[in-house]
Amino acid sequence: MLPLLKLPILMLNRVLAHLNVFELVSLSVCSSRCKSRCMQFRSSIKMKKQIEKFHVEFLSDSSKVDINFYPSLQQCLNFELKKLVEHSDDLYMCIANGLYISRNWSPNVKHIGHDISATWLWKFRPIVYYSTDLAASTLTWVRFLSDLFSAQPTSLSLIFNCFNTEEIDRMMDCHCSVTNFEIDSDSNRGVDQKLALSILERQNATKELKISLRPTNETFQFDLNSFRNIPEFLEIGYSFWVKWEQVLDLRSNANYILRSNFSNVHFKDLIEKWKDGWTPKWNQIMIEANEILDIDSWINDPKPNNACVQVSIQSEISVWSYHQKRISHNSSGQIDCNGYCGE
Amino acid sequence: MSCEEPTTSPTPENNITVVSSDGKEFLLDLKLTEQSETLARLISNFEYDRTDVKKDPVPLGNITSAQMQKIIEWLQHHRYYPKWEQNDIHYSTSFTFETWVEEYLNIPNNEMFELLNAANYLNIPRLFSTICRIMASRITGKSAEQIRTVLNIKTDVKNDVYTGIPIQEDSSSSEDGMSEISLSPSPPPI
Repeated sequence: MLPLLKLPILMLNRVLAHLNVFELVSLSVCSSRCKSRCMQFRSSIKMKKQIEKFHVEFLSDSSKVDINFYPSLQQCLNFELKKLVEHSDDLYMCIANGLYISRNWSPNVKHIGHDISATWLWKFRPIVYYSTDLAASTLTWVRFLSDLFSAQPTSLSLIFNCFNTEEIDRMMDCHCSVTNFEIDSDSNRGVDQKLALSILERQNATKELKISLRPTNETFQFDLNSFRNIPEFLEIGYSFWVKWEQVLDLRSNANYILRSNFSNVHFKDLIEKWKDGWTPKWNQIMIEANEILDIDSWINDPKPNNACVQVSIQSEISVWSYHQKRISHNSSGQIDCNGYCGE
Repeated sequence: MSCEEPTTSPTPENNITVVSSDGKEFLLDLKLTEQSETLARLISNFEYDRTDVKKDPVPLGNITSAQMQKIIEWLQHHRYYPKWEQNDIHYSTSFTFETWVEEYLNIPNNEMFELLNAANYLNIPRLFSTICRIMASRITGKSAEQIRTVLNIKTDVKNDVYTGIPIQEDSSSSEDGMSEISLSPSPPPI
Protein backbone atom coordinates (compact mmCIF):
# COMPACT_ATOMS: atom_id res chain seq x y z
CA MET A 1 0.00 0.00 0.00
CA LEU A 2 1.24 3.46 -0.92
CA PRO A 3 0.33 6.05 1.73
CA LEU A 4 0.73 8.85 -0.77
CA LEU A 5 -1.73 11.18 0.88
CA LYS A 6 0.42 11.24 4.01
CA LEU A 7 3.05 13.22 2.15
CA PRO A 8 3.49 16.88 3.06
CA ILE A 9 1.85 19.10 0.52
CA LEU A 10 4.99 20.29 -1.25
CA MET A 11 6.31 16.76 -1.69
CA LEU A 12 2.94 15.49 -2.83
CA ASN A 13 2.76 18.28 -5.38
CA ARG A 14 6.05 17.13 -6.83
CA VAL A 15 4.63 13.62 -7.20
CA LEU A 16 1.37 14.87 -8.72
CA ALA A 17 3.33 16.97 -11.21
CA HIS A 18 4.28 13.71 -12.92
CA LEU A 19 0.65 12.76 -13.57
CA ASN A 20 -1.21 13.84 -16.66
CA VAL A 21 -4.48 15.71 -16.31
CA PHE A 22 -6.60 12.60 -16.76
CA GLU A 23 -4.67 10.71 -14.10
CA LEU A 24 -5.23 13.67 -11.81
CA VAL A 25 -8.98 13.40 -12.41
CA SER A 26 -8.80 9.65 -11.81
CA LEU A 27 -7.05 10.22 -8.51
CA SER A 28 -9.45 12.95 -7.46
CA VAL A 29 -12.56 10.78 -7.95
CA CYS A 30 -11.14 8.20 -5.54
CA SER A 31 -12.09 10.10 -2.40
CA SER A 32 -12.82 13.56 -1.10
CA ARG A 33 -9.37 13.65 0.51
CA CYS A 34 -7.76 12.77 -2.81
CA LYS A 35 -9.77 15.49 -4.48
CA SER A 36 -8.80 17.98 -1.81
CA ARG A 37 -5.09 17.22 -2.29
CA CYS A 38 -5.40 17.44 -6.08
CA MET A 39 -7.23 20.75 -5.73
CA GLN A 40 -4.38 22.12 -3.63
CA PHE A 41 -1.94 21.02 -6.31
CA ARG A 42 -3.93 22.76 -9.03
CA SER A 43 -4.75 25.90 -7.05
CA SER A 44 -1.63 27.92 -7.85
CA ILE A 45 -1.96 30.88 -10.21
CA LYS A 46 0.43 29.21 -12.65
CA MET A 47 -1.79 26.13 -12.79
CA LYS A 48 -4.97 28.15 -13.22
CA LYS A 49 -3.47 30.00 -16.15
CA GLN A 50 -2.85 26.72 -17.94
CA ILE A 51 -6.53 26.41 -18.81
CA GLU A 52 -7.18 27.96 -22.19
CA LYS A 53 -10.76 26.84 -22.69
CA PHE A 54 -13.40 25.17 -20.57
CA HIS A 55 -16.31 24.23 -22.79
CA VAL A 56 -19.62 22.67 -21.77
CA GLU A 57 -22.02 21.36 -24.37
CA PHE A 58 -25.53 20.11 -23.65
CA LEU A 59 -26.75 17.87 -26.47
CA SER A 60 -30.04 16.01 -26.78
CA ASP A 61 -29.13 12.83 -24.91
CA SER A 62 -25.52 13.41 -23.94
CA SER A 63 -23.19 16.23 -23.05
CA LYS A 64 -19.57 17.14 -23.51
CA VAL A 65 -17.11 18.83 -21.22
CA ASP A 66 -13.82 19.91 -22.76
CA ILE A 67 -10.87 21.44 -20.95
CA ASN A 68 -7.98 22.57 -23.06
CA PHE A 69 -4.59 23.08 -21.44
CA TYR A 70 -2.65 23.66 -24.64
CA PRO A 71 -0.12 25.27 -25.09
CA SER A 72 0.88 25.39 -21.40
CA LEU A 73 0.42 21.64 -21.30
CA GLN A 74 0.23 19.47 -24.37
CA GLN A 75 -2.93 17.91 -23.09
CA CYS A 76 -6.67 18.35 -23.25
CA LEU A 77 -9.60 16.57 -21.64
CA ASN A 78 -12.72 15.73 -23.67
CA PHE A 79 -15.31 14.15 -21.40
CA GLU A 80 -18.48 12.75 -22.84
CA LEU A 81 -21.45 12.11 -20.56
CA LYS A 82 -23.60 9.26 -21.80
CA LYS A 83 -26.65 7.54 -20.41
CA LEU A 84 -25.95 4.44 -18.34
CA VAL A 85 -28.00 1.76 -20.07
CA GLU A 86 -27.82 -0.86 -17.37
CA HIS A 87 -26.16 -0.39 -14.04
CA SER A 88 -24.03 -3.16 -12.66
CA ASP A 89 -21.84 -2.82 -9.60
CA ASP A 90 -19.34 -5.16 -11.18
CA LEU A 91 -18.87 -2.91 -14.18
CA TYR A 92 -19.41 0.64 -12.92
CA MET A 93 -18.55 2.60 -9.83
CA CYS A 94 -20.45 5.60 -8.56
CA ILE A 95 -18.30 8.72 -8.25
CA ALA A 96 -20.99 11.22 -7.39
CA ASN A 97 -24.72 11.65 -7.27
CA GLY A 98 -25.98 9.96 -10.45
CA LEU A 99 -22.52 9.81 -12.02
CA TYR A 100 -20.67 6.61 -12.84
CA ILE A 101 -17.44 5.51 -14.43
CA SER A 102 -16.46 2.08 -15.60
CA ARG A 103 -14.32 0.11 -13.18
CA ASN A 104 -11.49 0.06 -15.68
CA TRP A 105 -11.93 3.77 -16.45
CA SER A 106 -9.37 4.78 -19.01
CA PRO A 107 -9.63 7.33 -21.77
CA ASN A 108 -9.45 6.94 -25.48
CA VAL A 109 -6.20 8.81 -26.15
CA LYS A 110 -5.67 10.63 -29.40
CA HIS A 111 -2.32 12.08 -30.35
CA ILE A 112 -2.44 15.21 -32.44
CA GLY A 113 0.61 16.35 -34.37
CA HIS A 114 1.61 19.97 -34.39
CA ASP A 115 2.57 21.73 -37.60
CA ILE A 116 5.16 24.10 -36.21
CA SER A 117 7.11 21.98 -33.79
CA ALA A 118 7.50 18.29 -33.24
CA THR A 119 5.32 18.31 -30.16
CA TRP A 120 2.17 16.31 -29.70
CA LEU A 121 -1.17 17.12 -28.20
CA TRP A 122 -2.60 14.41 -26.00
CA LYS A 123 -6.38 14.34 -26.14
CA PHE A 124 -7.87 12.27 -23.34
CA ARG A 125 -11.44 11.32 -24.19
CA PRO A 126 -12.98 9.42 -21.26
CA ILE A 127 -16.66 8.59 -20.86
CA VAL A 128 -18.66 9.39 -17.75
CA TYR A 129 -22.13 7.88 -17.35
CA TYR A 130 -25.24 9.44 -15.86
CA SER A 131 -28.15 7.45 -14.49
CA THR A 132 -31.25 9.60 -14.98
CA ASP A 133 -30.89 13.37 -15.21
CA LEU A 134 -28.50 14.59 -17.92
CA ALA A 135 -28.67 18.27 -16.99
CA ALA A 136 -28.17 17.74 -13.26
CA SER A 137 -25.42 15.15 -13.76
CA THR A 138 -23.55 17.36 -16.22
CA LEU A 139 -23.74 20.30 -13.86
CA THR A 140 -22.45 18.08 -11.04
CA TRP A 141 -19.53 16.93 -13.17
CA VAL A 142 -18.75 20.46 -14.34
CA ARG A 143 -18.78 21.65 -10.72
CA PHE A 144 -16.45 18.80 -9.76
CA LEU A 145 -13.99 19.76 -12.51
CA SER A 146 -14.35 23.46 -11.71
CA ASP A 147 -13.37 22.74 -8.12
CA LEU A 148 -10.53 20.47 -9.12
CA PHE A 149 -8.96 22.81 -11.67
CA SER A 150 -9.97 26.08 -9.98
CA ALA A 151 -11.60 27.28 -13.18
CA GLN A 152 -15.05 28.14 -14.40
CA PRO A 153 -16.48 27.24 -17.81
CA THR A 154 -15.70 29.81 -20.46
CA SER A 155 -17.94 28.46 -23.16
CA LEU A 156 -21.45 26.99 -23.18
CA SER A 157 -23.34 25.37 -26.01
CA LEU A 158 -26.94 24.32 -25.57
CA ILE A 159 -29.56 22.51 -27.64
CA PHE A 160 -32.19 24.30 -25.66
CA ASN A 161 -35.38 22.52 -26.73
CA CYS A 162 -34.15 19.20 -25.29
CA PHE A 163 -34.49 20.57 -21.76
CA ASN A 164 -37.33 21.93 -19.68
CA THR A 165 -37.51 25.43 -18.25
CA GLU A 166 -36.29 24.38 -14.84
CA GLU A 167 -33.21 22.68 -16.28
CA ILE A 168 -32.48 25.67 -18.49
CA ASP A 169 -32.75 27.96 -15.49
CA ARG A 170 -30.21 25.86 -13.60
CA MET A 171 -27.82 25.86 -16.55
CA MET A 172 -28.08 29.59 -17.07
CA ASP A 173 -27.67 30.29 -13.36
CA CYS A 174 -24.55 28.10 -13.16
CA HIS A 175 -22.92 29.39 -16.32
CA CYS A 176 -24.08 32.97 -16.61
CA SER A 177 -20.48 34.20 -16.81
CA VAL A 178 -19.36 32.31 -19.91
CA THR A 179 -17.78 34.49 -22.58
CA ASN A 180 -18.77 32.24 -25.47
CA PHE A 181 -22.34 31.07 -25.85
CA GLU A 182 -24.19 29.05 -28.44
CA ILE A 183 -27.89 28.28 -28.51
CA ASP A 184 -29.04 25.57 -30.86
CA SER A 185 -32.24 23.60 -31.35
CA ASP A 186 -33.14 20.02 -32.16
CA SER A 187 -34.97 20.06 -35.49
CA ASN A 188 -37.10 17.09 -34.43
CA ARG A 189 -38.62 18.96 -31.52
CA GLY A 190 -40.73 22.08 -31.24
CA VAL A 191 -39.15 25.43 -30.43
CA ASP A 192 -40.47 27.33 -27.44
CA GLN A 193 -39.91 30.90 -28.60
CA LYS A 194 -40.49 32.41 -25.20
CA LEU A 195 -37.87 30.15 -23.64
CA ALA A 196 -35.42 30.82 -26.47
CA LEU A 197 -35.80 34.55 -26.06
CA SER A 198 -35.37 34.33 -22.31
CA ILE A 199 -32.11 32.41 -22.82
CA LEU A 200 -30.82 35.00 -25.28
CA GLU A 201 -31.66 37.78 -22.89
CA ARG A 202 -29.90 36.03 -20.00
CA GLN A 203 -26.67 35.02 -21.70
CA ASN A 204 -23.65 37.25 -21.14
CA ALA A 205 -21.36 36.37 -24.03
CA THR A 206 -18.70 38.96 -24.66
CA LYS A 207 -16.51 37.11 -27.14
CA GLU A 208 -18.65 34.84 -29.28
CA LEU A 209 -22.39 34.41 -29.58
CA LYS A 210 -23.85 31.84 -31.94
CA ILE A 211 -27.59 31.68 -32.44
CA SER A 212 -27.95 28.40 -34.25
CA LEU A 213 -31.54 27.65 -33.31
CA ARG A 214 -34.03 27.21 -36.11
CA PRO A 215 -37.27 29.01 -35.28
CA THR A 216 -40.32 27.03 -36.37
CA ASN A 217 -42.59 30.03 -36.21
CA GLU A 218 -42.40 32.68 -38.95
CA THR A 219 -43.24 35.36 -36.41
CA PHE A 220 -40.08 34.76 -34.39
CA GLN A 221 -38.40 38.06 -33.65
CA PHE A 222 -35.62 39.23 -31.39
CA ASP A 223 -34.01 42.60 -30.86
CA LEU A 224 -30.36 41.92 -31.56
CA ASN A 225 -29.41 45.01 -29.62
CA SER A 226 -31.01 43.79 -26.43
CA PHE A 227 -28.14 41.53 -25.41
CA ARG A 228 -26.60 42.26 -22.03
CA ASN A 229 -23.18 42.54 -23.68
CA ILE A 230 -22.07 43.16 -27.22
CA PRO A 231 -20.24 40.02 -28.35
CA GLU A 232 -17.16 40.52 -30.48
CA PHE A 233 -18.43 37.87 -32.88
CA LEU A 234 -22.06 37.17 -33.70
CA GLU A 235 -23.25 34.27 -35.82
CA ILE A 236 -26.89 33.67 -36.69
CA GLY A 237 -27.26 30.23 -38.24
CA TYR A 238 -30.86 30.54 -39.48
CA SER A 239 -31.35 34.23 -40.07
CA PHE A 240 -34.57 34.31 -42.10
CA TRP A 241 -36.19 36.12 -39.20
CA VAL A 242 -33.59 38.89 -39.15
CA LYS A 243 -34.74 42.16 -40.72
CA TRP A 244 -32.46 44.18 -42.97
CA GLU A 245 -32.57 47.15 -40.61
CA GLN A 246 -31.25 44.88 -37.87
CA VAL A 247 -28.29 43.89 -40.03
CA LEU A 248 -27.40 47.50 -40.66
CA ASP A 249 -27.63 48.20 -36.95
CA LEU A 250 -25.52 45.26 -35.71
CA ARG A 251 -22.93 46.26 -33.15
CA SER A 252 -20.64 43.23 -32.99
CA ASN A 253 -17.22 43.59 -34.54
CA ALA A 254 -17.66 40.57 -36.80
CA ASN A 255 -20.98 39.11 -37.91
CA TYR A 256 -21.96 35.96 -39.79
CA ILE A 257 -25.55 35.99 -41.06
CA LEU A 258 -26.24 32.55 -42.50
CA ARG A 259 -29.18 31.22 -44.54
CA SER A 260 -30.75 34.65 -44.86
CA ASN A 261 -33.67 35.79 -47.01
CA PHE A 262 -31.75 38.78 -48.26
CA SER A 263 -31.48 39.36 -51.99
CA ASN A 264 -29.84 41.68 -54.50
CA VAL A 265 -32.10 44.55 -53.44
CA HIS A 266 -30.78 44.54 -49.90
CA PHE A 267 -27.15 44.38 -50.88
CA LYS A 268 -27.60 47.14 -53.41
CA ASP A 269 -29.09 49.22 -50.61
CA LEU A 270 -26.00 48.44 -48.54
CA ILE A 271 -23.68 49.65 -51.29
CA GLU A 272 -25.72 52.81 -51.80
CA LYS A 273 -25.67 53.62 -48.12
CA TRP A 274 -21.98 52.94 -48.01
CA LYS A 275 -21.35 55.26 -50.94
CA ASP A 276 -23.48 57.96 -49.31
CA GLY A 277 -21.14 58.00 -46.36
CA TRP A 278 -22.90 55.65 -43.95
CA THR A 279 -20.54 53.81 -41.66
CA PRO A 280 -21.70 50.63 -39.93
CA LYS A 281 -20.86 49.86 -36.32
CA TRP A 282 -19.43 46.51 -37.38
CA ASN A 283 -16.11 45.97 -39.08
CA GLN A 284 -16.86 42.71 -40.79
CA ILE A 285 -19.98 40.99 -42.03
CA MET A 286 -20.60 37.82 -43.99
CA ILE A 287 -24.09 37.21 -45.30
CA GLU A 288 -25.42 34.14 -47.04
CA ALA A 289 -28.00 35.44 -49.53
CA ASN A 290 -30.85 33.35 -50.91
CA GLU A 291 -30.10 34.23 -54.53
CA ILE A 292 -26.99 34.67 -56.63
CA LEU A 293 -25.71 38.16 -56.13
CA ASP A 294 -24.55 40.35 -58.96
CA ILE A 295 -22.32 42.66 -57.00
CA ASP A 296 -20.51 44.01 -60.03
CA SER A 297 -23.70 45.56 -61.36
CA TRP A 298 -24.16 47.61 -58.19
CA ILE A 299 -20.88 49.41 -58.57
CA ASN A 300 -20.76 52.04 -61.26
CA ASP A 301 -17.01 52.39 -61.07
CA PRO A 302 -14.73 50.59 -63.53
CA LYS A 303 -15.28 46.84 -63.26
CA PRO A 304 -12.48 45.15 -61.43
CA ASN A 305 -11.38 41.64 -62.13
CA ASN A 306 -9.29 40.15 -59.36
CA ALA A 307 -7.53 43.47 -59.29
CA CYS A 308 -7.33 46.46 -57.05
CA VAL A 309 -9.89 49.16 -57.75
CA GLN A 310 -10.37 52.57 -56.20
CA VAL A 311 -13.90 53.19 -54.99
CA SER A 312 -14.87 56.66 -53.92
CA ILE A 313 -16.90 56.44 -50.76
CA GLN A 314 -16.68 59.94 -49.49
CA SER A 315 -15.61 62.96 -51.42
CA GLU A 316 -12.36 63.36 -49.52
CA ILE A 317 -11.51 59.79 -48.66
CA SER A 318 -10.44 57.11 -51.06
CA VAL A 319 -10.85 53.51 -50.11
CA TRP A 320 -9.04 50.72 -51.85
CA SER A 321 -11.17 47.69 -52.29
CA TYR A 322 -10.36 44.28 -53.62
CA HIS A 323 -12.65 42.24 -55.74
CA GLN A 324 -13.04 38.61 -54.77
CA LYS A 325 -14.80 35.95 -56.76
CA ARG A 326 -14.78 32.28 -55.87
CA ILE A 327 -16.96 29.26 -56.51
CA SER A 328 -16.88 26.33 -54.15
CA HIS A 329 -18.88 23.15 -53.81
CA ASN A 330 -20.03 21.28 -50.76
CA SER A 331 -22.61 18.65 -49.92
CA SER A 332 -25.40 21.24 -50.04
CA GLY A 333 -24.53 22.48 -53.50
CA GLN A 334 -22.57 25.32 -55.05
CA ILE A 335 -21.54 28.51 -53.28
CA ASP A 336 -20.78 31.61 -55.35
CA CYS A 337 -18.64 34.05 -53.42
CA ASN A 338 -18.49 37.46 -55.04
CA GLY A 339 -17.60 40.62 -53.21
CA TYR A 340 -15.30 43.39 -52.23
CA CYS A 341 -13.21 43.99 -49.21
CA GLY A 342 -11.78 47.37 -48.41
CA GLU A 343 -8.86 48.64 -46.48
CA MET B 1 23.04 6.85 -17.54
CA SER B 2 26.05 5.40 -15.85
CA CYS B 3 29.39 6.87 -14.89
CA GLU B 4 32.73 5.38 -14.10
CA GLU B 5 33.34 5.32 -10.41
CA PRO B 6 37.04 5.59 -9.49
CA THR B 7 37.74 4.41 -5.99
CA THR B 8 38.83 7.22 -3.73
CA SER B 9 39.09 7.15 0.01
CA PRO B 10 38.37 10.32 1.98
CA THR B 11 41.29 12.00 3.61
CA PRO B 12 41.02 14.42 6.55
CA GLU B 13 41.57 17.35 4.19
CA ASN B 14 38.71 16.57 1.84
CA ASN B 15 36.00 15.27 4.10
CA ILE B 16 33.60 16.24 6.86
CA THR B 17 31.94 14.23 9.59
CA VAL B 18 28.17 14.13 9.88
CA VAL B 19 26.34 12.70 12.86
CA SER B 20 22.97 10.96 12.48
CA SER B 21 20.09 11.38 14.93
CA ASP B 22 21.10 8.13 16.69
CA GLY B 23 24.64 9.37 17.23
CA LYS B 24 26.51 7.47 14.53
CA GLU B 25 29.30 9.33 12.75
CA PHE B 26 29.85 9.19 8.99
CA LEU B 27 32.89 10.45 7.15
CA LEU B 28 31.76 12.21 3.99
CA ASP B 29 33.93 13.20 1.05
CA LEU B 30 33.43 16.87 0.20
CA LYS B 31 32.93 15.86 -3.41
CA LEU B 32 29.88 13.84 -2.40
CA THR B 33 28.36 16.69 -0.42
CA GLU B 34 28.13 18.78 -3.61
CA GLN B 35 24.98 16.81 -4.44
CA SER B 36 23.31 18.01 -1.26
CA GLU B 37 22.45 21.69 -1.43
CA THR B 38 21.97 21.79 2.34
CA LEU B 39 25.44 20.35 3.08
CA ALA B 40 27.09 22.33 0.28
CA ARG B 41 25.71 25.59 1.69
CA LEU B 42 26.78 24.62 5.20
CA ILE B 43 30.30 23.78 4.05
CA SER B 44 30.49 27.02 2.15
CA ASN B 45 29.23 29.09 5.11
CA PHE B 46 31.70 27.52 7.55
CA GLU B 47 34.48 27.39 4.93
CA TYR B 48 34.99 23.68 5.58
CA ASP B 49 36.47 23.37 2.11
CA ARG B 50 39.60 25.13 3.42
CA THR B 51 42.29 22.90 4.86
CA ASP B 52 43.20 25.37 7.62
CA VAL B 53 39.67 25.45 9.11
CA LYS B 54 38.79 23.13 11.95
CA LYS B 55 35.83 20.97 10.92
CA ASP B 56 33.35 20.19 13.66
CA PRO B 57 31.02 17.22 13.17
CA VAL B 58 27.72 18.26 11.55
CA PRO B 59 24.65 16.98 13.42
CA LEU B 60 21.80 15.81 11.21
CA GLY B 61 19.00 15.53 13.75
CA ASN B 62 16.33 14.47 11.28
CA ILE B 63 18.22 11.61 9.70
CA THR B 64 18.81 8.18 11.19
CA SER B 65 21.97 6.18 10.61
CA ALA B 66 20.09 3.73 8.35
CA GLN B 67 18.84 6.58 6.20
CA MET B 68 22.28 8.17 6.12
CA GLN B 69 23.80 4.89 5.00
CA LYS B 70 21.29 4.69 2.20
CA ILE B 71 21.91 8.30 1.17
CA ILE B 72 25.67 7.84 1.09
CA GLU B 73 25.12 4.89 -1.21
CA TRP B 74 23.15 7.19 -3.54
CA LEU B 75 25.75 9.97 -3.35
CA GLN B 76 28.58 7.59 -4.14
CA HIS B 77 26.77 6.12 -7.12
CA HIS B 78 26.10 9.59 -8.56
CA ARG B 79 29.48 11.02 -7.62
CA TYR B 80 30.50 11.73 -11.21
CA TYR B 81 27.09 12.52 -12.64
CA PRO B 82 26.59 15.99 -14.11
CA LYS B 83 24.91 18.56 -11.92
CA TRP B 84 21.18 17.96 -11.66
CA GLU B 85 18.97 20.37 -13.57
CA GLN B 86 15.30 20.36 -12.89
CA ASN B 87 13.30 20.72 -16.07
CA ASP B 88 9.71 21.83 -16.21
CA ILE B 89 7.56 18.79 -15.95
CA HIS B 90 4.86 18.67 -18.56
CA TYR B 91 3.93 15.18 -19.43
CA SER B 92 6.30 12.28 -19.12
CA THR B 93 5.17 9.35 -21.18
CA SER B 94 7.55 6.88 -19.62
CA PHE B 95 8.60 6.04 -16.13
CA THR B 96 11.69 4.07 -16.89
CA PHE B 97 14.55 3.96 -14.42
CA GLU B 98 18.08 2.69 -14.37
CA THR B 99 18.39 -0.86 -13.12
CA TRP B 100 20.56 0.37 -10.27
CA VAL B 101 17.88 2.91 -9.27
CA GLU B 102 15.14 0.28 -9.38
CA GLU B 103 17.18 -1.99 -7.13
CA TYR B 104 18.16 0.89 -4.85
CA LEU B 105 14.52 1.93 -4.37
CA ASN B 106 13.18 -1.60 -4.11
CA ILE B 107 12.40 -0.95 -0.47
CA PRO B 108 9.23 -0.91 1.65
CA ASN B 109 6.98 2.12 1.18
CA ASN B 110 7.60 3.47 4.67
CA GLU B 111 11.38 3.39 4.09
CA MET B 112 10.90 5.15 0.79
CA PHE B 113 8.89 7.85 2.52
CA GLU B 114 11.59 8.32 5.13
CA LEU B 115 14.19 8.46 2.39
CA LEU B 116 12.13 11.08 0.58
CA ASN B 117 12.05 13.15 3.76
CA ALA B 118 15.78 12.80 4.15
CA ALA B 119 16.34 13.78 0.52
CA ASN B 120 14.12 16.79 1.07
CA TYR B 121 15.93 17.77 4.29
CA LEU B 122 19.38 17.45 2.74
CA ASN B 123 18.09 18.93 -0.51
CA ILE B 124 19.39 16.26 -2.87
CA PRO B 125 17.31 17.11 -5.93
CA ARG B 126 18.18 14.09 -8.06
CA LEU B 127 17.20 11.65 -5.31
CA PHE B 128 14.14 13.65 -4.34
CA SER B 129 12.92 13.87 -7.92
CA THR B 130 13.60 10.19 -8.56
CA ILE B 131 11.57 9.07 -5.54
CA CYS B 132 8.71 11.38 -6.56
CA ARG B 133 8.79 9.89 -10.02
CA ILE B 134 8.84 6.34 -8.61
CA MET B 135 5.80 7.17 -6.48
CA ALA B 136 3.98 8.69 -9.44
CA SER B 137 4.74 5.56 -11.45
CA ARG B 138 2.71 3.55 -8.93
CA ILE B 139 -0.39 5.54 -9.94
CA THR B 140 0.14 6.46 -13.55
CA GLY B 141 -1.79 4.47 -16.10
CA LYS B 142 -4.10 3.02 -13.46
CA SER B 143 -7.87 3.30 -13.32
CA ALA B 144 -9.58 4.99 -10.40
CA GLU B 145 -10.42 1.62 -8.90
CA GLN B 146 -6.81 0.45 -9.18
CA ILE B 147 -5.64 3.71 -7.59
CA ARG B 148 -8.04 3.09 -4.72
CA THR B 149 -6.45 -0.32 -4.24
CA VAL B 150 -2.90 1.08 -4.36
CA LEU B 151 -3.75 3.83 -1.87
CA ASN B 152 -6.03 1.55 0.17
CA ILE B 153 -9.03 3.83 -0.09
CA LYS B 154 -12.42 2.46 0.93
CA THR B 155 -14.82 2.24 -1.96
CA ASP B 156 -18.10 2.98 -0.22
CA VAL B 157 -19.63 6.18 -1.54
CA LYS B 158 -21.75 8.52 0.49
CA ASN B 159 -23.00 11.33 -1.66
CA ASP B 160 -23.13 14.80 -0.31
CA VAL B 161 -26.75 15.84 -0.69
CA TYR B 162 -25.84 19.44 -1.43
CA THR B 163 -22.95 19.05 -3.84
CA GLY B 164 -23.48 15.52 -5.06
CA ILE B 165 -19.78 14.92 -4.60
CA PRO B 166 -18.79 11.70 -2.85
CA ILE B 167 -17.64 11.90 0.72
CA GLN B 168 -15.20 9.15 1.50
CA GLU B 169 -12.63 8.55 4.13
CA ASP B 170 -9.52 6.92 2.82
CA SER B 171 -7.94 4.57 5.28
CA SER B 172 -4.34 5.06 4.34
CA SER B 173 -3.57 7.14 7.41
CA SER B 174 -3.04 4.60 10.16
CA GLU B 175 -2.87 1.18 8.62
CA ASP B 176 0.63 1.58 7.28
CA GLY B 177 2.11 2.12 10.72
CA MET B 178 3.69 5.40 9.73
CA SER B 179 3.56 8.59 11.69
CA GLU B 180 2.62 11.87 10.11
CA ILE B 181 5.48 13.40 8.21
CA SER B 182 5.99 16.94 9.36
CA LEU B 183 8.99 18.42 7.63
CA SER B 184 7.12 20.68 5.28
CA PRO B 185 5.08 23.71 6.23
CA SER B 186 1.37 23.43 6.74
CA PRO B 187 -0.61 23.38 3.53
CA PRO B 188 -1.94 26.78 2.53
CA PRO B 189 -5.67 27.40 2.86
CA ILE B 190 -7.66 26.61 -0.28
